[in-house]
Amino acid sequence: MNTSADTLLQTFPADADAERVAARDRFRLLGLPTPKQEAWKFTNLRPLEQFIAAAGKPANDAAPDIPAPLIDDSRRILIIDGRVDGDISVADPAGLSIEQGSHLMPEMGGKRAVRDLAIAMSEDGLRITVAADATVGQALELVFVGTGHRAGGHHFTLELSLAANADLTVVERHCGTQAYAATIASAIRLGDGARLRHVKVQDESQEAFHLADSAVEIGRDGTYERFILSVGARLARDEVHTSLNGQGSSVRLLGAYAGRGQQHLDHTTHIDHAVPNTTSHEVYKGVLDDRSRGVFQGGIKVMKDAQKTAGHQLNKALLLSPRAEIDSKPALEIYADDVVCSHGATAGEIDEDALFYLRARGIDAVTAKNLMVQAFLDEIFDGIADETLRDRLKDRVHAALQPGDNQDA
Amino acid sequence: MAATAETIQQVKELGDRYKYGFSTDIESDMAPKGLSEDIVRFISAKKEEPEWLLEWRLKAYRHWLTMPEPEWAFVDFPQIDYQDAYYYAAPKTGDKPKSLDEVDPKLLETYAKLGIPLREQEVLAGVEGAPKVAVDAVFDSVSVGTTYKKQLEAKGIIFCAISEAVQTHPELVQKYLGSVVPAADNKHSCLNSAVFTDGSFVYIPKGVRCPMELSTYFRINQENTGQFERTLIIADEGSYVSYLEGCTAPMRDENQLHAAVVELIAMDDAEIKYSTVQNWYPGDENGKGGIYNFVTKRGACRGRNSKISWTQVETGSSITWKYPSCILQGDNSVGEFYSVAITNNCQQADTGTKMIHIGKNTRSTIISKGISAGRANQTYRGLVRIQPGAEGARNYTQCDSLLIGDRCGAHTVPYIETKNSGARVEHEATTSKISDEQLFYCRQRGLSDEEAVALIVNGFCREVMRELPMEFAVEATKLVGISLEGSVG
Repeated sequence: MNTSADTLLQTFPADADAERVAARDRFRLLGLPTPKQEAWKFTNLRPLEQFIAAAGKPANDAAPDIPAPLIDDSRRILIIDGRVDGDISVADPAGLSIEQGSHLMPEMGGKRAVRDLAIAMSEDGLRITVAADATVGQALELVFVGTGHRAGGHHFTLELSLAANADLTVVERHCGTQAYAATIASAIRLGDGARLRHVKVQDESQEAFHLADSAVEIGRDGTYERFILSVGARLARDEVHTSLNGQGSSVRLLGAYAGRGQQHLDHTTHIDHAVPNTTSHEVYKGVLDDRSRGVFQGGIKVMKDAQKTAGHQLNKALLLSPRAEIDSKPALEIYADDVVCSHGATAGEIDEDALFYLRARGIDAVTAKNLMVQAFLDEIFDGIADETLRDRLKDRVHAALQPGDNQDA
Repeated sequence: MAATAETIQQVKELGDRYKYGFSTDIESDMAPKGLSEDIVRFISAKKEEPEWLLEWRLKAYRHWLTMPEPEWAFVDFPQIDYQDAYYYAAPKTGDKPKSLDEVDPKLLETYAKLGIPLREQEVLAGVEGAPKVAVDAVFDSVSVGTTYKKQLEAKGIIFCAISEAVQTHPELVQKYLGSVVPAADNKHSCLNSAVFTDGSFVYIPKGVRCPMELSTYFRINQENTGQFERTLIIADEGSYVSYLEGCTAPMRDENQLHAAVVELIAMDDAEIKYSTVQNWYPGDENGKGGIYNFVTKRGACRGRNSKISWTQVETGSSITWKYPSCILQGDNSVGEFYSVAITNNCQQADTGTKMIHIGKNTRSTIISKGISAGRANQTYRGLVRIQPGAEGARNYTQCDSLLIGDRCGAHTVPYIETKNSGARVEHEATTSKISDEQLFYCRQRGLSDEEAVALIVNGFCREVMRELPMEFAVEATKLVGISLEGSVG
């Protein structure tokens, strides 16, 4: 019997519905994943278990720090410690509807531990839907703030559902102070021709644990563009399972991560090409300093008959310190022959020749190194259309790599 | 698509194309069926082995009983009934043959059919100046003859059956056996450690460059037998050896198990080149029969500047489970892995390599070409690990897959673990099919579909084929054609 699982499930509500009970039972049976499971080979949740075992004393009661918006005129919803804070009513709907409560589409997402935990234990959630043919001009910014006030952890479920030809931009931002464990399970469904731009910023407190699991289904000609910036948390895992279910659908997953100290940043993705003529494009780039460790696990699966699939996957890591580590597992599983799939992975340190070139032009070593790191990461940010947002995120990642970053606790 | 129909038609015809599918009727000396401590003792007694080796075997056997079957590979097969096989089968020739002349002529006939230059004087008669190849032939479970022994002995090279080495050079065997692949490494190597019957032993003394290719031909002949050979190659300081391994088996309806272990050890400045053309019986077009090829191959670059190079052409076996690996311990040591794996019909292959970088400035290159046709499934599974101390390590990996037909699968599962910032690791993989443009181009120039595909596939594999020793390259190129015959249209 896994005691951490029991601790996590302690406050399981008595009036939970059947789906939650099922999720709880699965989670209780299998417990938190361990590196013995192939999918968790590179990420050991022992620190989380220790945190759970030691927790019990909520931290101080300081008011949560609410960050300035990333998109100036966005519609903001605050979620503090896993609970929606304030009014979420939509004055000018234009096809957008936001409901509070945990509603995840139960048929989506498979049975994974993090998902089960979030579904079982979430006290709150959001269901965001966009009606057919509606283009929501105003970006939606979901700001998750962790304060460490709630012993153990907080859990949340997020459902995003776009009907045919709907269009939406969502910024999902996680930040906080103190130590806490946050899990979030998402279900994202795009109808035919729908388009979702999803920017996730994982900027949790450096003492926090962040475990996210997203399931995505994309219909005919639908497009899902995701960008994740991952700089926070002591241990973070962002897992995305995408299913390209309609012909002409496409997914683009971009990621930038920067680790320092003893951070552990895991990005796990899985893309199913279920039907012919689908496209996936995936690029993750990371910079790892000190004793931080990065994990990239990518999976592309091309089902039988999913001809004319194009799938590309790339992970590049720059190691700034001798003790940093990157583990990559970019896997391909292909059952159709008329496909063009590729993956690549590289790891290495900053090019000495390029550094020398810069220094020969009078640039000091620190600046030269920073320039190289910026150049390495900037390419990824080109995938963000909104210039203001792009610059703010770039600034954030560059700040995160400096020793005096204010997120340091 | 007409081509698809043609493919199906040709795949059907492929069943009788396995040219090594004959069996030889030779009386065999066999151990009783099944596996138990008594069988292990029986094998050891048959081989007149010293006490330490029996103990080693028994220890492995007892551990084997406790080990679960490895289930992580991308292969699917019914539970193996380990009790339903013979673990020892030796051609009955009375006393051990003193020379090749005393070997059962039927056996030699078998080898002639296999095209093995066992009687190399004849083979070489017409080929003036061709490189000599010393051959150790393993039939079912025992080595039946080693050629060119005298010439090798003159240089101090030991090349003999491992059972013979146990008697004549026990100190070397005891020192190195299991030092690269420990008995308990995995279920299959553990079984091998308990019941291995023969295999080759090679020792190249300091500073000696082996004057000829050393070669072993393995053949499973007897029904219901497993073959468990064990190969141990030690290249002492500054030496060089090139070793070839070939395998075939007759066509049989039931599956036969082949669980071999190969250990290579390279000391300072030594180089071992190990080439395999694996052509075990792959089963018929419906996946009936065929060899389960569960092999553990690993080389240790113990010394500075040492080099181990694996080249494999895998066309046979119904299931291949094989990861020739290099442990790069010595500074500046080099590991190489060149592989062509072809799966057709219902074949399954899960193969790849591991490069463990421990020493400074160690380098490794992995070139893997997978070709999957028919209903076959193939996986490249590889690990590149850069340990914290492997300053300046370098790895380049390229694994390409070619799919022929829409019912086959090609998978890539690389693990890349970098724990040193001074290392450079690059990995690339692609999966594609032969493009219509390429085919059109060749056909336009008067090649038939089959010729065009053979040309393109051989071009696809060229980087690996050119690593093979000349004698093997010819055979391997032909094998590529034969293995894919009928699968393309």
